Order: sequence, then C-alpha cells, then structure tokens
Amino acid sequence: MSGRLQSLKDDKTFYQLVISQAIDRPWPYWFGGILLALFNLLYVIITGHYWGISNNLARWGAWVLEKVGVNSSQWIVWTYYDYYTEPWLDKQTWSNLGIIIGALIAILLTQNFKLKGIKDKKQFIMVLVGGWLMGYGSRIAIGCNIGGLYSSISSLALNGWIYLPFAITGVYFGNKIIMKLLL
Amino acid sequence: MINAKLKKSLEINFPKQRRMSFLIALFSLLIYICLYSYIDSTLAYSWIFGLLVGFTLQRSRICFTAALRDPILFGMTELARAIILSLFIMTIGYFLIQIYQLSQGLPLPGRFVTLGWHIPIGALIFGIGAALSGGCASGTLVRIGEGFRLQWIALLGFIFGSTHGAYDGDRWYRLFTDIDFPHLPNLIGWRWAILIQLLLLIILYVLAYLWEKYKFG
Amino acid sequence: MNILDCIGEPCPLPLMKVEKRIKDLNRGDKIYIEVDHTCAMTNVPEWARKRGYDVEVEEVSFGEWKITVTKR
Repeated sequence: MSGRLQSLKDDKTFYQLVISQAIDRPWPYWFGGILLALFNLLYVIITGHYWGISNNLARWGAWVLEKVGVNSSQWIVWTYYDYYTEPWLDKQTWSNLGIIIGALIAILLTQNFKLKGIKDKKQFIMVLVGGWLMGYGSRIAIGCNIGGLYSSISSLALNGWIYLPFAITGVYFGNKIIMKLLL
Repeated sequence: MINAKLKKSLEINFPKQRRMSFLIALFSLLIYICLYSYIDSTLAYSWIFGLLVGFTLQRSRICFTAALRDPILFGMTELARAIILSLFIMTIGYFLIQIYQLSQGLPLPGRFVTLGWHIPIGALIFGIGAALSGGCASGTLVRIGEGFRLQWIALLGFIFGSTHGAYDGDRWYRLFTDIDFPHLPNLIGWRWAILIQLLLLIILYVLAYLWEKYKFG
Repeated sequence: MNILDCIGEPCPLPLMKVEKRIKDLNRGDKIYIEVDHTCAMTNVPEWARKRGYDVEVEEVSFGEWKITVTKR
C-alpha cells in the first residue's frame, strides 16, 4: 500500500498486520462461496424458508400503488405468491435490508467506502432500463438469480436448471448491447 | 502528552470508517433485539442472515452476474467455480434437510416453480437486465451498501419492473404446464436426483476449470 | 501515457476497455487504469495476472484504485 493513504494505512504493529491480512484483503471467492452456503443452510434449518429477494420488491411496489389509489392488492398474481398489506412484515424485506447494511459494514471496516456518482445520462438510462428488465423478468420467471437460480438449484428443483442456461444467454446478450453502446 | 499519543494510536488502529462500521454493527444488533423481542423471530433471523450474507458477498466480491458472464466473455471461471462449489454444499445440505423434514412429516423447504415457457423467457429478460444494470439482484443490494448512487437507480427500476411484472403476471402464467412440483426426487426418485445433480455440478466445475486452462494457456 | 479513466463505470466495462486497449500495446508498455468499482478492482488484476502481465494495485483514495498493468 502506498500513495496518499500511506500514513493512514501503514502496517506497523502485529495487530495491524493481522488486520491488513485478515480484513483489508478481499476473501478468496471459494471462501465466500462456502460461507454463503453455510449461512443459507443455517437459515433454512432455523426458519424453514429459502433465500429470495425479488418477490419482496414487487410487494413494496404494489403497496405504494395501493397507497396511491391503484387497486393493486386485487391483482391475480397474488394467488401465486402472497400479498402483504404490511410489507415490512415480510421476511425478505429484512434480509434485503440486511444485505445492504452488511455490505456497508464490510466496506467501512476495510475503509473503502466512497459515495460513487453517476457518470452521464446514458448510464442513468441504461441502468434504469436494466433494472426494469431485471424486475420484469424476475416476476415472469418467478425468481431472480437468488430465488430462481441459487435457492432453486440447491433445493433440487428442476426449474433452477432450466433458469440457468437462459440467464447465461441473457447476460451474454446484455453484454453485447453494452459493448455496442459504450465501448 | 499521553493523551495525544493514545489519540494517535486510536486514529491508526481504529480509523474513522472502521469506527463507523462498529457503530453500525452495534446498531444492527439493537435492531435484531427489537425485532426478536417485539415483532417476530423469523424477521430477526432474516435480518441477521441478510447482514451475514451482505458482509460475505462484499468481502469476497461474489457477484452472480459476473459468475455467469466472465467464463464466456473473458474466460475467467474462478468465481463461477466458487458458486458451483457453494451449490454443491447447498445441494448436500438441502438434501439432508429435505429427507429429515419428510421423515418428520414436516413441509418440504425449497423453491419450486411450476414449469413452463415463462421460466426461459423471464430468465432471458432478467439476464439482459442484470448485464445492463451492472449487477444482479444480490449485487444491486450489495452495491447500494457500497455507496454506488447508480445502483439506487437500478433498484428503483427493479421495483418498477417487478410491479409491472406482477401486474402482467397472470398473462404470463398461462404458460404454466402441468408439472407444478418440479422437485427432482419427485420426478426421478431421491437416489437418482442427488446423484445426477452432484455429478452435473462436478462436470460443470471440471469443464469450467478446463475452459480457463484453454483460454489462458 | 496510457491512462484509462474508469471512475464510475460498472463491472464489465473496465475489463472490456483494458482488454481492447492492451491489444495495441507493445511488450513492456504500461497501462494505468483508474477504477472506483470494488468488483473491477479484483476483476482486472485477476485477469491480467492470468495473462501473465505484471500488476500493481495502489489505493489512491478511499475506495479509489489505480491499477498498473505492464504487458509481457
């Protein structure tokens, strides 16, 4: 480590050496993968639920619409998955918030936090459209990359294996679009 | 004099951002206690689970979109192999949990979606969106925590899109087939299910390894 | 000087740009990449190391890195 942060992040004492090796350095991918599996299994054992993200976002969107005056709680989709009149009682709300705060804790711990801005209008629109497609796709397939792919495959469900090749194809085409537009 | 020295040592050992992280961690614990004692233990466990997962994903830089993209675009498969390893452990764990649950007559945990063309179409759209917005569902959340303003927009789009998809949902769900419980053991039996799935994961792992060898010589 | 300014760019872009730019370089040439994306900060060095290039990562400021890749 050198540069402007030298005085702040200089490794000197044993304590600092341990910190810099154990905390400042990113963990290897495989270690993260194993931890992720263990946490998920513990979660399933303790609560009996799988890990999902995107159902919750639709619930919040519908909740806001309901407040605005749209009759969104009567949509037929809610026969396929539950509607929450109080979406903060949805467990996914809390796991999603937890992911955000957990990542914040991790990045502050390694002193890498920086509020990063938006570069230009093009990027803004692309990300908005990308997010929109992601949300729409995850509702159609009933699951995002977590509920539809990770939790599905690991719970021995065939729908996860069907999801995988098409998600890869989608990501591939998406990257082709990025290359055309931004490179 | 000593005070100044102590202050300096504190500044070096516990710099500002690190102090903030301890503070937030403490606050999170408080939220856990509140959730546990006043609302519902499942929510409290979900909160802790989210914290741990977010921490792990950020520390190990795991990103599912990257795992799907890097092997094809750049020939790097280390991340993809880590995910496969994770799935391998998860499969064994889930298998044991499911067998135990069945033997006790308890509900089967897992994510089962009725098969049909809505899955491939949705997955394709999801993939394109994930590539464009620079992060999948978990990646978007992690990056919001990391301080990317860009991902706020992505999340906003995600919520809009999800709601839009929920509105259109019943139109797409007409593509449902009769197979409404695609649990592999249900389709081909427990022994074959676990065997085929683990074998498939191992094959994918080896293929990914060979692919990287081939790409980088 | 080959400087790639990738501040504020999401994940695949920095590596795509490096991959494209590095093709035109001679052996021993250096390229500097400025990133503030935590993913790219592991992605780019990983790719370059696998290619057998020399890589140096320097933290310029909180959450901002300067990656130096020397083509071999």
